Amino acid sequence: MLVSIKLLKMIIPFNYTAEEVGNKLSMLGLEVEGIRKVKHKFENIITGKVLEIQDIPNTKLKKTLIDTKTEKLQIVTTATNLKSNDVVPVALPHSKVANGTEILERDFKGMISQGMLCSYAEIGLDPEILSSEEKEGIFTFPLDTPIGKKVEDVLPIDDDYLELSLLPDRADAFYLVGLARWIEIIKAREEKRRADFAQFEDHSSINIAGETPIPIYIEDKTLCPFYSGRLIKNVTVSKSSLSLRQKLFMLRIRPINNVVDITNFVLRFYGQPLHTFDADTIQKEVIIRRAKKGERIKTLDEVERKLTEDNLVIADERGPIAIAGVMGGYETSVTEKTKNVFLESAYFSPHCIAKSARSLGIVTDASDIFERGADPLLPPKGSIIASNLISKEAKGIPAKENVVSFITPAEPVNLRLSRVEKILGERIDKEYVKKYFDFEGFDYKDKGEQLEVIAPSFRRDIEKEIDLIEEIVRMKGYNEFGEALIVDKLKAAKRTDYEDFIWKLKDKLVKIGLDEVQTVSLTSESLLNLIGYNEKDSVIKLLNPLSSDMSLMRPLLLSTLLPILERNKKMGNTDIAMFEIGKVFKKEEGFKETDELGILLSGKRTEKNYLKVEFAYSFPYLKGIFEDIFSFCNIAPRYVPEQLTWMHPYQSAGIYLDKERIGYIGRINDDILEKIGVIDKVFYGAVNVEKLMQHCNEKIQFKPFSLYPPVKRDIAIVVDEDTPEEDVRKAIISAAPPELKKIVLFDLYKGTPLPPNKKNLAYSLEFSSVHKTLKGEDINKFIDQLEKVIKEKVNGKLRKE
Amino acid sequence: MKDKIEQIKMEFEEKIKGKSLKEIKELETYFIGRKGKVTELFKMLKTLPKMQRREFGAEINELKQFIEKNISEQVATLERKEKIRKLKEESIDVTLPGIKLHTGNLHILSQTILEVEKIFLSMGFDVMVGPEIEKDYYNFEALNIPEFHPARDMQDTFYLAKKILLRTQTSPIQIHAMEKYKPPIRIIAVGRCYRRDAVDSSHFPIFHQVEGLVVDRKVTFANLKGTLAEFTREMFGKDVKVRFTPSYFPFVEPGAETSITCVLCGGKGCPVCKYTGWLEMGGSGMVHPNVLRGVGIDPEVYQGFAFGWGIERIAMIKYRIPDIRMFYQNDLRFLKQFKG
Repeated sequence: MLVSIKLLKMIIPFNYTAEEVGNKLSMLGLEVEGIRKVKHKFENIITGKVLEIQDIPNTKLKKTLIDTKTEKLQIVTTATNLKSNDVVPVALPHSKVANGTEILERDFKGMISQGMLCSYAEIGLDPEILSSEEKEGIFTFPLDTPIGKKVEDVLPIDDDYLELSLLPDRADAFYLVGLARWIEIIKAREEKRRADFAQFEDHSSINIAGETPIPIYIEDKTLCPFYSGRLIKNVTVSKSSLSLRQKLFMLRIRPINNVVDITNFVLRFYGQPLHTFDADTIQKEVIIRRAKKGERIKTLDEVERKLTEDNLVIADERGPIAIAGVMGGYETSVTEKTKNVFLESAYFSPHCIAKSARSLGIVTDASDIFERGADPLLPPKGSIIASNLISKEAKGIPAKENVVSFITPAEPVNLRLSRVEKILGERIDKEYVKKYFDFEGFDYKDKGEQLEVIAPSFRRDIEKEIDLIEEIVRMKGYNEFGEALIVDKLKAAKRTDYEDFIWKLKDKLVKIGLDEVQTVSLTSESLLNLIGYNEKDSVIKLLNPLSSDMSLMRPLLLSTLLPILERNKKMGNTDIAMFEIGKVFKKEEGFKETDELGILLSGKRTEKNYLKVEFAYSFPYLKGIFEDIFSFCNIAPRYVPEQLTWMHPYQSAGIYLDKERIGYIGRINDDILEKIGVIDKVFYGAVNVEKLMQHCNEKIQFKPFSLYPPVKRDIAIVVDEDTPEEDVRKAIISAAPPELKKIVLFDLYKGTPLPPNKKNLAYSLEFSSVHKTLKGEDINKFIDQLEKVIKEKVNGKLRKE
Repeated sequence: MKDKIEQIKMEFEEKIKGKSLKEIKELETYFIGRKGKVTELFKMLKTLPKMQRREFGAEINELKQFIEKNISEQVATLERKEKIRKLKEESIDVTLPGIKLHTGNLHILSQTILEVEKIFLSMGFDVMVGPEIEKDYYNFEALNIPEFHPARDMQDTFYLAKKILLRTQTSPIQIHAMEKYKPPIRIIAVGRCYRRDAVDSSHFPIFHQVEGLVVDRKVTFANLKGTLAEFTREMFGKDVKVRFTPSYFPFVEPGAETSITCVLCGGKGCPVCKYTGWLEMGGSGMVHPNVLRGVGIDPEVYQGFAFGWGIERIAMIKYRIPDIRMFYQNDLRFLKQFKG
């Protein structure tokens, strides 16, 4: 919201700079985000009246005669919107328009133009706040605009605006008088006196003639506690006068016609939302009621809207003619042809208007104020102010208003001084509390240890004791309170076991040498298609995504890790070893979120070096990391070959704990990588973190180790090529004595001199005993047995060294 | 005999000069080997009369010892020289660069969260978590933001179904905490939040918050200020101050926006703090009585404070990260700057 300092100063004098006002308001909770300074950029452009317009034959040009009070100028223009008597901006010879171009006398094929008539753009006006008529062709001023005046003196262009960002509890500052009241509070506080809000009241009386023949009925007084309707006869609907136009300009209201402009002005200036109907289109009566299901209305913006019981409407005999507090109806709106106006000034329930506006998806200035809480005592005054303005601007004659009111006097709010101290941690003297309430113009009665407080009717944020305590803090100053640490019995503070585990796991992964990444938890259809994720039905969709690339909740980390891989590779970060621990989401018994760990490797562990030593990431390396993690978590899962659409069909395995699949590892399918421009091999594994957690709390206890030197023995076994290595290893272990402490596969060989379809596995075995030094003979017996076991279990042959 | 001994000694002295290790071994054999010249002398000794045997025996022994000593001395010298030569051969250029393995780091958000948790744990706050997919009730209604309340517009929300949404703040964890535990409650909760904000250098649809909640019989506004001031000093340095400005969050009252001294300009005013000298960190305030009542806590007996600060915001200020998007782009050149 932009607020004109110029206009503000017209109703409340102050000597602060714009920046100072901004800062003072911010410190009271009315956040001013900045100051916008506007200064006209044109030079020597004055107002002039069009006396004559003539077409120049065989051209699109027109010759005009312009009266600038001191002289009459011949000016050539291409504009088509001009009429005699229009008041327009005239750029005199040697003037400058807003973009800096200098205007000179010009010769149009023998026709001299002594200057130029200007459009809104040439005087640098903001199109946002202009009527459609003003934006077309040459800009036209109200008809009563004096001529020969500098444009910057006619339109209040040069001004400073406060950029106000108001929170929903500040309904009392959404309009100019409301904001002026806050400046009055600032002054009162500085001058240590009671705020005087009476200075902002309009005390003008109204001359009425006759009755308003349209009766008013309210169906539900909780939804509409007050409604005033007044007939204003014989109006002339036209353009607003200069004085009103100037105010609209400063309030940044787009002009429509004088009657509508007045209702908008009263809303933005005094804070009373109004609506005007063409009285002759209202059938018989006005009823304020809930809409019936299936009812429809064409609103002012010419949209046909379906109504529900959530909408409060103003209806006549035939049906809805306006959506109460939100937007008027098109059929009953005030137009140039309107002769008689029905002026509505009402108070509607905030909740009802909020619900109504939101159910239709409409936000208007009126609904903004009503839903935040308008001043329930303002409608009668609003009606008088608007009626007087309409009679002045549009020559209408107001009748006596019809009023239905269920407004009851406000209940006082009790404030216990003991409560103030208890909440704030500081005793505040009663006399100070009273002073604070004086600064804000609150009424109160001293009841000893309590104050009975009545806030002004526009302060809808004051309903309860706690609201008053907040006002004490606001007035004393948030930063005028002391700081105190909590003094309490000591106890050990901690994380949940699960969170503790996650941090330990992250620490372990970092120690292994992986970088943690954190990716967005939202993914897209196209990424899931790229991966070939086929459980589409269980993917959770956002109902209102911001963009298609963040429209789904990720069902697997890989979908958001791939773009990170792609980006890093493109940026030349070729060696990647990263992990993420994050939520993945699924439709399962409602919506389910679980933590997943994903590890992605590509490139090398080592930097390129002069020793020519390299350690390229590979499946076994990835598996080693997972084995480390599993051992850290006290689990020993199995690996079972499997095929996943996004993995290499013969380099991937499911990870099983008992019979449950808790994850998978392998190499990412090259086809997918090709599509994101990655040429290196990429290895990836993922596990469910909650499954890892199940055994992680088993306590680590010391196990004795041998104090005697170990005996080492290397063996080699030839088996069929497709025999899983794990089977061979298990066979060895099954035959081994308990003294076998370590078994390491140190060579794997296929090819000559081995027969085809055979492979050689070489193991290094290490034996030790806690009781004695082992001798060669102790092991020989086992090696002898092994030959038979290998033959039986894996159809292999032991080659003794 | 005497001449022979003298002759052999001279021969030895002549021959040992400038010999290599291998040649010295040969000399050893030549003089004192089984068929060496000195050994031969011993054999000859048997042919001499008894009287002379003793005399010459002693002299030959002397000669043998002389030769042995000389040889072992010479060998030691040569071996020492050889060792030095070998070591010299192995000399390297110590200014060559070291060879590194890639090492890992925690994401800077994790590092920041750890630091935040550490400070609050030390102040006796337990650390809680809550779900990212929330019911409307927890994210709004129980926080004194009923349906259609204008405050809902302050946070543009992603919905998954009717009344089910992605939490827009960590504040729903306040409600979970008060449902689960009886006062006294002193917790923080860190987590991922979602808002339907257009992306720019300071807005991203995903971000993290740290929520704090303290509920007890005598927890005051002064305690709120003290706690946040202490946290700020620990996190940003002892000269950094907290400023409270009135603000509106329906679940706290009095409610405040909390800012800290701009750490870039020290409060003097610069482009980052828009020349205010202050940086906004998040909301705070005293828990609204409606919220307490809603979870069955009597606001006449218990009261408390709550706050919610942005983790990205903390990290951006502390580490001077210019753009929130960098956290989620995960460029390794970004991640690896933050060692930890």
